[in-house]
Amino acid sequence: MFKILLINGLIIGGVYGLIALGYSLIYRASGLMSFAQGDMITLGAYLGLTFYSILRLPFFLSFILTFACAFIVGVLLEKGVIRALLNKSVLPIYIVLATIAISYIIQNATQALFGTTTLRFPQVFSTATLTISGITAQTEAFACLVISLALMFLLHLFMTKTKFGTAMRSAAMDPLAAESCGINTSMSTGITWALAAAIASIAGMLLGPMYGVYTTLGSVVGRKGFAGAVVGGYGNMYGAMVGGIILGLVETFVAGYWTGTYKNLIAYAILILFLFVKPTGIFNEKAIQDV
Amino acid sequence: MKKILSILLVLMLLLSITACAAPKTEEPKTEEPSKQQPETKEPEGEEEPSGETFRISTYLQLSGSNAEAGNNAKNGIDLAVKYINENGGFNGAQVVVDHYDTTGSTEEAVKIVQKVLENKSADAIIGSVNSNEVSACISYINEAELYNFGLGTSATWMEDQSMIWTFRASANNNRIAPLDVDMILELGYDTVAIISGTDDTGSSTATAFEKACAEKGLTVTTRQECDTADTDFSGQITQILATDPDTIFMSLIGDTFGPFVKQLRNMGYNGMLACKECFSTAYQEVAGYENSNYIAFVYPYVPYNSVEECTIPYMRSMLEKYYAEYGKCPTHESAYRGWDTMMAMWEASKIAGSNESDALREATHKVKIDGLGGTLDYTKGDREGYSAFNSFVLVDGQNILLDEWLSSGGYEAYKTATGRDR
Repeated sequence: MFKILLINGLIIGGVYGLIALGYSLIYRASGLMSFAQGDMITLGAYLGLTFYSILRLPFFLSFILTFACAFIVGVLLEKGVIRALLNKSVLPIYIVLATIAISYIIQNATQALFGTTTLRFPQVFSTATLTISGITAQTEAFACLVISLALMFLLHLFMTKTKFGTAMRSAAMDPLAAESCGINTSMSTGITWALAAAIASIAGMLLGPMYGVYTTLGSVVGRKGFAGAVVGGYGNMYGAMVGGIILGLVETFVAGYWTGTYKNLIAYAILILFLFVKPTGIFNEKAIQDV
Repeated sequence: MKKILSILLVLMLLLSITACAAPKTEEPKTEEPSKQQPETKEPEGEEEPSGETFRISTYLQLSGSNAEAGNNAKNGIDLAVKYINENGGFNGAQVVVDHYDTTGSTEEAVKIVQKVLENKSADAIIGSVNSNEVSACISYINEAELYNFGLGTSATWMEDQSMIWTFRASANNNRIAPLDVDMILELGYDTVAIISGTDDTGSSTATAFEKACAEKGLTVTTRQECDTADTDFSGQITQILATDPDTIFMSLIGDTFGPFVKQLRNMGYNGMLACKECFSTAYQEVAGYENSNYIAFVYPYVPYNSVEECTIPYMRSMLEKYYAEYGKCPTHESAYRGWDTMMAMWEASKIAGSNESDALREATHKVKIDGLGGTLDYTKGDREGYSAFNSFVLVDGQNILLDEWLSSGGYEAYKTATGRDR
């Protein structure tokens, strides 16, 4: 039983980690907080469904198109809303409020366009389930874990080893100083939000076959992803992944050894505990000082 | 300039969402004699019910996690209203329905009902398919002494005998629960695990089922719970499978059914499942048809994939009308609940010869008509329509009567297909 719970905890933790990566990326590269990230997952799932199931395009092409569309939506979101507010020198809380509004806009827009029915996202892989050391789970779930881990490394390398990543971080730390050094802060935050939206769209395309596609698909898992990002250290890529996995494991073990009734309670209690005891998270990311 | 650019970019953002939309499913049309009412409009105005129309307000979940059930109920009600209006209405008065969307929020449901009552804008009210919402609202409606029906299947809100203005034309899960146990025993099983939602219907049905198990000698190996918005059930499933039950009884709600069954099958359980209600087409769509095999349940009726599939004359006649109106069969049985509710109300209006709430309430106790799931009989005085149910099993997308399936060697075929000995 322990092994089954462990594998399933890692899988769901991988999902939360993937979502947490988006939150952390935005914070790390723009110093901002988005509550629309969960709904970007929903949007990604609907985009993927449109290309893959409705237009019947090959999965790889659907994947690329979804990624590209989400990237564009992310740019538009940053340029149309976030940048517009930043140019007004508003307090960070206004950005947060704007992202909450965007979250509802996405939920209602998808509802208006796709209806209220949960839609079936066809399975992506020809093999429905995979068995690893005697534990069977959906192939997309394993893929989610693998892709999350790969993205974690890639994003970390991108942010720390590339010129553009460094520029993004400096733009987040001190936009004025960054601009005086010739960094285009507007473009850097735009790319950040676009990347975060694109990552969310990947999560959406992988969650769709597991849970079906509906308008609030991303909002619940999005909250868990946020909690994972905080636990790991808000803004830290490794922290996002580790936080997500811890949350997934806790949830699964609580439900497996105790009760499913209180698994969410325990998961969010851990979030509160971290906020009080170690707000910088496991990876000691000093997010709290910047807010 | 920047402001204009910002506005343009926001518009582009919205358009980009629009651009990727699926071809929108045709919205159900309600061909009512008066103007179409917006689904989510606020109850307003001081419009008094007139003698020429009989105005019904509904509070249904038309968006959110259990919207499939709400929208099907709405379709069923609208279809019945169309039929009733074509056949003389309520004592000559044309029926007009105002639908309000609760969005799945009990608070919203209460606000809607309070406004409808405050504005006196309804001659009758039909409540939600979500029992939580009905439970929260019926005390206000009863206080106002307004004729009303609930569509939920939980026993809880009908237990209060003082709610004399409230009736039901759908199933009462607590009456079904002991029959679920009988069905499981008939299949030769000794043990069962329970997965239940924490919502009113899921929880109360699971409790009634557990009680019936104790009375009838069926061993419950474990009872696991999940939230209505849960998407991951691996912990609960692991606990359930660790107890090695003969079968698993699902007392869930709406959107949790599909992902639960899918995850359960993916985690290796291919045995028989028992369900508190029929496993609707919408649930099968999400769970995957290959995963929806061998789900047994006790219920008044079942969903059909096509009109031709149905051999029950009255049900088939309703399905033909439904298909003609909406271009598809109901995807959730709550469409039947909506239809039956309107038919029971119509019959009451005929018996009463009046559309006054008090007369309708009195007359409903004399209603005994054919419903879609058998006889709707209110003469027992308990305000419940259905008291007889059938056992079915879902195999290859078909809901087959359990007795027929057993006698035709279905169970042996199940054992061969699944490699299980029970």
